[in-house]
Amino acid sequence: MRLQGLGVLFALIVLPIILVLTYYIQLQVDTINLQNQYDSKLLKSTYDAMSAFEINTANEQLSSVSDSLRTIIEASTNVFFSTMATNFGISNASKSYVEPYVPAILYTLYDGYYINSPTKVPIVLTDSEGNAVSVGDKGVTKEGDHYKYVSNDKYLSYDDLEEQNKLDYGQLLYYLGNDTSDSKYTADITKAKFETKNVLKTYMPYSARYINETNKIDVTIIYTLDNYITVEGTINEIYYTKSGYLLPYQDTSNIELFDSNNNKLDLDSSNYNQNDVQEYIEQGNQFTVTLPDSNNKITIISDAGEEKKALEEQLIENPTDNDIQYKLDKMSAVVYYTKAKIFSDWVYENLTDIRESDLVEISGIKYQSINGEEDTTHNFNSDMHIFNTSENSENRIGEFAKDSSFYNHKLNVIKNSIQYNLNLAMSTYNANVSSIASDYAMPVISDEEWDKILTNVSIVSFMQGYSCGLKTYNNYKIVSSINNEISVDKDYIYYVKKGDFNNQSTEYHKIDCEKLLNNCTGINDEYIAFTSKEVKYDKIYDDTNSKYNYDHQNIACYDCINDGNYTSSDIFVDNDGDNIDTKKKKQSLRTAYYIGVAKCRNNLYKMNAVENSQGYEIVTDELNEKSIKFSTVKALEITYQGLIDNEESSTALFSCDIYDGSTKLNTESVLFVNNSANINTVIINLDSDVTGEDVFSKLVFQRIKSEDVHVDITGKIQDRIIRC
Amino acid sequence: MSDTLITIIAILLAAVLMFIFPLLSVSERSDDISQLSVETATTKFVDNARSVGKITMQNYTDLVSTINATGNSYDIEMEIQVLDENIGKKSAWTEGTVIGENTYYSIYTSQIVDVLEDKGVYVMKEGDRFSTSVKNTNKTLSQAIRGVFYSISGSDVYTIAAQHAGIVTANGSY
Repeated sequence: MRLQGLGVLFALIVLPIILVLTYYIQLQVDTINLQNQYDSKLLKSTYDAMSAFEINTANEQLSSVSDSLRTIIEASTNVFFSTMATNFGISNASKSYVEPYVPAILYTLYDGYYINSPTKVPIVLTDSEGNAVSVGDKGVTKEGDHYKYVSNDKYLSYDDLEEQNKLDYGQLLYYLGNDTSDSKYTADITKAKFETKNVLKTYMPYSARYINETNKIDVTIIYTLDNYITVEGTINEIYYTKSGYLLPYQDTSNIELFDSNNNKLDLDSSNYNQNDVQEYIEQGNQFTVTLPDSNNKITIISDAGEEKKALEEQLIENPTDNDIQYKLDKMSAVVYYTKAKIFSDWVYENLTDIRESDLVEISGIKYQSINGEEDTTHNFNSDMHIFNTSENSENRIGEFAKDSSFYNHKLNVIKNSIQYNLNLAMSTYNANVSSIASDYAMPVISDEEWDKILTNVSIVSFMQGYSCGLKTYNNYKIVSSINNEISVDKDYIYYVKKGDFNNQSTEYHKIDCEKLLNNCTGINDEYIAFTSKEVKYDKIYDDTNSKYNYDHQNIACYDCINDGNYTSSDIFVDNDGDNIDTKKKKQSLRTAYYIGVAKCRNNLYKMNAVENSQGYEIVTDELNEKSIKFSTVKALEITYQGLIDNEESSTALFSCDIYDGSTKLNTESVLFVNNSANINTVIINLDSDVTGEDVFSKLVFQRIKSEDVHVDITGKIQDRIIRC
Repeated sequence: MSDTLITIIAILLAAVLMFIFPLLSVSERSDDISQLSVETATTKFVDNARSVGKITMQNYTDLVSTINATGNSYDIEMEIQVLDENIGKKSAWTEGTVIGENTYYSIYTSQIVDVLEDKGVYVMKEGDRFSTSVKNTNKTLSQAIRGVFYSISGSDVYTIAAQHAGIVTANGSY
């Protein structure tokens, strides 16, 4: 063959290969580009969702109902899908087009989480104004085994319904499942037509149940992103409901409390509970907390002399009075440490026997549901004591070290719970949205990302199934938030000298900024602290006058706030080279830190807090059958409901007889209490002078039945009555 | 005479067709693959930095070693636009970030690298913008071969380039 022939042959072979290769590589490049675009769209949407969440929490008066954030989360998911649709070039009116590609959006909040995911829901019949239609509404008629909805003024009465349909009356109407004409409806949900819709699922707390039979413990503990926990359950046959901040010391005796006469209080024998002590301090009484410190003790004194409410009112009248602000700060800080100490003492007294292996399912059976093969789940089979924290505190007071058993256990509980429920949501997604999904498995989230999710309020959004060049898109994005009303990050609390607070020409700093240390003049410097959210969002507290809670005028430090790459000084450790002045300055800053963190945490909105009943213990709900020794009971709270009795009878409603052995000593009677169907509560204070081995009380019900009464309280306290 | 001329032309054509063209084509594909790799690495680097709020020395050296593995030398340009929190805040606003009032100041590659070498971490905050662009600085094989036939003037000539940018979504910490 001649040279030319060889050349042509070579070209014939090589050219197609080159062309195909070019095309293929170009496709790959396009795929990567497209994937990057989708990534950034997903991140943008998630970021927008978080911004919406932050703004909404900033201007919301949150209630203590744990589900009160639901509307905010729903608004946030709405924003997510709107941004997503806009980013994909379709208007947000057609955002239902992108919804099926989002198998789950996870919201990790302070003490629990929400998952938004597609679920099959029955299609409810609505009228022209969007209101749901029920059987008995105008225009609903019965026809054969189904209902019809026509535009007329007739009502279907209860009597018109056949016997087997009487129960339908008042029920919602759904589209009939196998009917395509859309004109037949049913009240029976099992026959309804279902559609796939993105639904925000029930709020799930970060909780775990522990049963330890040898120590008679059966409690559920709800964890939070920081060291605030709620404990509910029985210990030694006594039912407890308590919540509070857990201090990381088994022995909290190095935190000391002094009352207004400077008497040191020993909380074991003195008789304060969390509520009482808070009330006492917030009335303006002097109360002192001393905290352990590297050199000297740090003392925080609350000596406002006025009630908290009065101070707050003065502050509204005169917002530039920094002394009032500082008094309030110290008051909150003292309340925080005192309550935390009372709560921690109780926890370490009662719960130290709990081991990791005591963890059970909520139903009480041995923990196994997420015992997968994967390394990503934790098995909870070690004998580690969860509340054994003697060696594990950080040098900052109140912070658990990251390698402590409590901290690690908490993270594992939260992580497993989230993983389990996310997996569940995604399996449902696979089952329900099969038209789009190729089998979708939950991606493995790296440890670094988990750390981010579990230390701040975060949104994790998952997206999959979108066609993306040569492959199908499958990714997730995480956005964390520090500027919200429901959590406090100790690293994003800013400090400014008391005199400079709200002065437009001075800067605010992070606690370890070198400028802050350099500008400190000595041990007597006082600082006011506020969180980053107070700079980013102002909270309106008075709509009519447009007054703002946080109207901070100080400017941000260009080193530690704006830039972040600043020279930090470790104020928690005195270095060898530090002279006496520097040591004093550091101590002053440490005091500022402890007041700042405590104040911010104490003022935080908490969803799972046991409002007004911290420290209450239900001894029994069958008092008329069971006697209670006086050594443990000082007051009884009786709750009853549904008493319909209009006469003001001279017969006692019920009485509480006090016995010594078989001798009746005394009778405390409740004559008349408001008559209504509402829940009523009366408190009977038992005579604290009467104590003894055989002294007990017995409730005698005269005008109400004992089964209508729920007896709620006693206190394990010697000479002080608990009001709860 | 004319036969010889045609043979010479044929040999030249054959040389171009059989050697230079395939070589050019293959080297261009090689650039494409480098492009793919550089683009992926850059995007990963920027996205990671803006989602955790910090640039670490390790991530930076990962980026450098990944792109250098393509056999070319690159110029990496980073820019952080730092959000200035100190806007002229007025008490009637309900949020701190008001459209039109956000000001940024920029930090560039050499400043960032200095901090990275010093501390190992460059911290950013939520709201900052981070961008990175990568361009090749050497002449790749395909550029050299193409240069034989035609030349493009100017110093800023590159065939492999990637850039990615975005808003930082988290506050970084050490």
